[in-house]
Amino acid sequence: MIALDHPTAGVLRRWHAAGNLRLADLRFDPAPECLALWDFVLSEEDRLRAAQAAGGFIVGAMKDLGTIPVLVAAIPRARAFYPDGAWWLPCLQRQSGGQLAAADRLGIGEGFCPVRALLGCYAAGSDFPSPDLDICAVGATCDDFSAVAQRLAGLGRDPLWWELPAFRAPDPGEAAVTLPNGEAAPAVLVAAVAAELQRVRVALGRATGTALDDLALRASIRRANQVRARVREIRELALGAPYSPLPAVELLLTEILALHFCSDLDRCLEILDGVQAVVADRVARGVGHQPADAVRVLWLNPVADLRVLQWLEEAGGRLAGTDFMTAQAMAPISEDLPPITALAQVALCDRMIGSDRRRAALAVAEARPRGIETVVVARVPGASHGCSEGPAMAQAVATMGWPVVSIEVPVVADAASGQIRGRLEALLETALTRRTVRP
Amino acid sequence: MRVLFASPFIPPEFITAHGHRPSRVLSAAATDCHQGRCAVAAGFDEALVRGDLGIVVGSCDQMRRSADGRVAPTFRFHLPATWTTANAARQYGDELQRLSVFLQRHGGHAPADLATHLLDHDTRRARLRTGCSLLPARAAAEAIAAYAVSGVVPASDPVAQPPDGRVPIALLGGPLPVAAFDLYDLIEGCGARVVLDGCESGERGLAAPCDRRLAADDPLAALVDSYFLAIPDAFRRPDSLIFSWLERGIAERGVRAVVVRPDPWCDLWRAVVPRLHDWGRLPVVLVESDGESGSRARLATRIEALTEMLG
Amino acid sequence: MITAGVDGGSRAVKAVVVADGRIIGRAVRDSGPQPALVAEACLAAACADAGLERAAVSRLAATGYARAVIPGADRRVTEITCHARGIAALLPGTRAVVEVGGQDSKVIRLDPNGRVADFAMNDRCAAGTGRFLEVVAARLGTDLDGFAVLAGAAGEPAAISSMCVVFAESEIVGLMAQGHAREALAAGVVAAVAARVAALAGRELTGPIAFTGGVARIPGFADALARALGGAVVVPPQPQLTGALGAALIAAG
Repeated sequence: MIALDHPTAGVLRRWHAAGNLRLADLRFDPAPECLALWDFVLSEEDRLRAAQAAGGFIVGAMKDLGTIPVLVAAIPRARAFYPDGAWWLPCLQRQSGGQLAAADRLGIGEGFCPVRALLGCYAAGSDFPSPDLDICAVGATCDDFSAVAQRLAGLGRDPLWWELPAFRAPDPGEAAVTLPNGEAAPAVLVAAVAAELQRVRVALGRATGTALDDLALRASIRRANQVRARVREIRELALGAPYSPLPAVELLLTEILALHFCSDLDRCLEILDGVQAVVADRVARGVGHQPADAVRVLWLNPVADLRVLQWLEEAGGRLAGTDFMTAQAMAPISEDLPPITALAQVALCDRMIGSDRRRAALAVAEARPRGIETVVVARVPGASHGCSEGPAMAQAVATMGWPVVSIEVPVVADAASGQIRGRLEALLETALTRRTVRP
Repeated sequence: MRVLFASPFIPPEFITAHGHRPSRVLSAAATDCHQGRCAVAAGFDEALVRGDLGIVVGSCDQMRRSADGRVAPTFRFHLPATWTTANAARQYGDELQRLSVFLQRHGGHAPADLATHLLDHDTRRARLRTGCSLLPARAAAEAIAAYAVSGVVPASDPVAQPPDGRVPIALLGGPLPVAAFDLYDLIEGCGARVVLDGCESGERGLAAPCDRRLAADDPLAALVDSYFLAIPDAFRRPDSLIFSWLERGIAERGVRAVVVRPDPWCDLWRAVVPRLHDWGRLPVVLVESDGESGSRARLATRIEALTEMLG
Repeated sequence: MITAGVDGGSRAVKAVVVADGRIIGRAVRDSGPQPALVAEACLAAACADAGLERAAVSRLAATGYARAVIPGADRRVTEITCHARGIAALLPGTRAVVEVGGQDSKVIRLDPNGRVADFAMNDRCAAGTGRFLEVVAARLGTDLDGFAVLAGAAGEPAAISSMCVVFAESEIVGLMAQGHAREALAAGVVAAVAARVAALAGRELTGPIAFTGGVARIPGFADALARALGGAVVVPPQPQLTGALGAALIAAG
């Protein structure tokens, strides 16, 4: 791992000089492909502004996390991004951007999750260009976002609201379909989501003047599937290899690419190809950045402050399972079904739209084969769903006996570093102790 | 069987038509809630006992995400946040149909005389509205609560409240547990009077008068109209129904200020406060009460300051 | 007519005696567990300061959190109204008043006649209140008066990112361990609290802004508030007495 002042980290120093001050506190995978991954993620604003300046149509998709960008990518001159992705900017910029202070002034204070940073961006016209269309998924998406989006609407935006209903299992005797994640879902639920996506499709066509036909949608789905497949491959290698071949932060960035391709699908694939080659090479050579006996951790929720993931690694842990709220964006989209139906099915793979118990069960089922030893629930500060995630996860792993720790990760976690690091270290010590007493 | 639910969007007449006893939960958790846990959501879990049926309405995170593992069979009702589209109304209707199957599966029968039940409850609510318009705020809230819990409209012979110099206000927020009804007294003690009860447990949570012809022709459609398309709430997108409802309150009842009382962990209602500030039609005061010592004094200061300002 | 106002705050009790709209006596006492007794003593001290007997006060108004228990009050009025009235007398033309109290912070908008047009207060969180400053002061090994001295002596304020009392305490401990001077930390806290209070004001706060209450005496706080609000902030003389003065003026009718 290298720091910002390493000779090969020049590309990151540029972003640090541009205001991303937190980079100075992070450590980075030295592979050029991984540094390129960082550069790609950090340069999205530039791409979006250039695209808009060139007459492109910019869509601010919010909260569906993975579905709307596939629709948008079917329109040649349109690009989608996630304004709610601004939630990590206050950390990255060490609060120098003033996004949260601006949200405070708009009456959306610390009681709300850091997604509120998007209000500051919209108000100041900073960090991303003003979208030509806002598309907000509400319904079973979280209250914090819903409140923030309504506040945004009150600032003169006119978002297209679409309903993402709560996931539920089929009732007895009810017609069901199998989702790409293997779950059964009621056919009527898929149809309801499809009807909403169809409404979005029509609105997008009207706004851009480009009718979204099935042919274009199928092509977009094919390309999205390439990204998703690549991300899944990298993730499987990163989480499953004996020696962890990719640091946690770089894995999180990789998963984020599945959401919206950082608004350049072709370049996104190139970046992912590079990262995958690095990871595959390391796995083949049996090398990694963590020793083979590092404690295997299932990590729930993304963190605004990436440094926290590195504290885990510095304490001797490694990721072997993740739920960064991106599962639906990695699920393969059916290329056989009508495109809108296929997208509706992957939208329902979102683990955040069901009960906490369902989410915990899915995360555990996926991670269990990788020899998970402990679980970290990283609570998002202010998030209204935060209070029940820890107990649900503890219940889900009770029979396995995995120790679970729940930590709240502030936007900039330095103030809580002693507390957080203490808990993480205690968790890993507990896991190591369990190794020795295991029959 | 007794069917418990905590949302005003569940029509009690629909449950009655299936041969069950509807009862809305209006109590907060009796035990302490851990940090971040909504007392109303926890209160619903406490109220539900073996032998009941439950309906959990997923209009907020805490209700939606906690819907598994209860002691009694529980139906998860997805209440769309969107409401201006045909898709949303259809989803609400579909959920009612699915609820019907659930109620039948658990000891109920196929809906019988739904239109009759609908008209009966519409009559009760009309009587309730008339009575409440004459009652002091607390008594009105108690009457609405009695109807919500048991379906019974308390007999009363109210007389119109003469103007008493108190500042007429709207109280807005989520469900106000019955145990917290002394808020109405506190408000009156501070020189204000709730003339528009926008708590979920108050008149805001009452279904709109139904179209009697539609009720006879298509009772399900009438339920969609009276409940889904009519009840204002903070979770709805867009949230414009709240403002049109308040606008009527200003015109018809002379509302001069809004007091917003969100539950301590409710993002949805807290976020309404800056929206009301932007709206700019009335002064807005945020009051929070979580039972901590001293919270009553803080609350009184805010309301007294409001009445001094408007007095 | 001689009137008096007593402001029973959560940290201090203040009393002002007024004759024909002019302050002729004043006193400040720490609040104790028995605010009624402290209020009586404080009023007696203010009368003594004016060279008067208590009986010379023809009308008394009480304000602040202890207003309900202050004995002998002819009127009981909230501190929002009293601060507005006091500042209208001290600084006519003011259009907004900011007061950082022990339990509550307030931003009060005034109409052109100096009457309260609207107000906003903090939620139940202690961030942005005097209580927050007290906790921080204790962590820095001093009291509020000592904190004021520290804040006034700082050069560059330290960056304090957390406004949660619990996290801020941890953060300050961490920053002290890193060698940050207490003065810089105090100034950093002042800037953070000022930003928090400014957020209460919302987007627009126009016209002359006054800063009242005991916290306004902390050196640099008004400047920090001015930066956060984006406009000039004026501190009246003896800002901690503004509420009591307003009460005394209201008592006069």
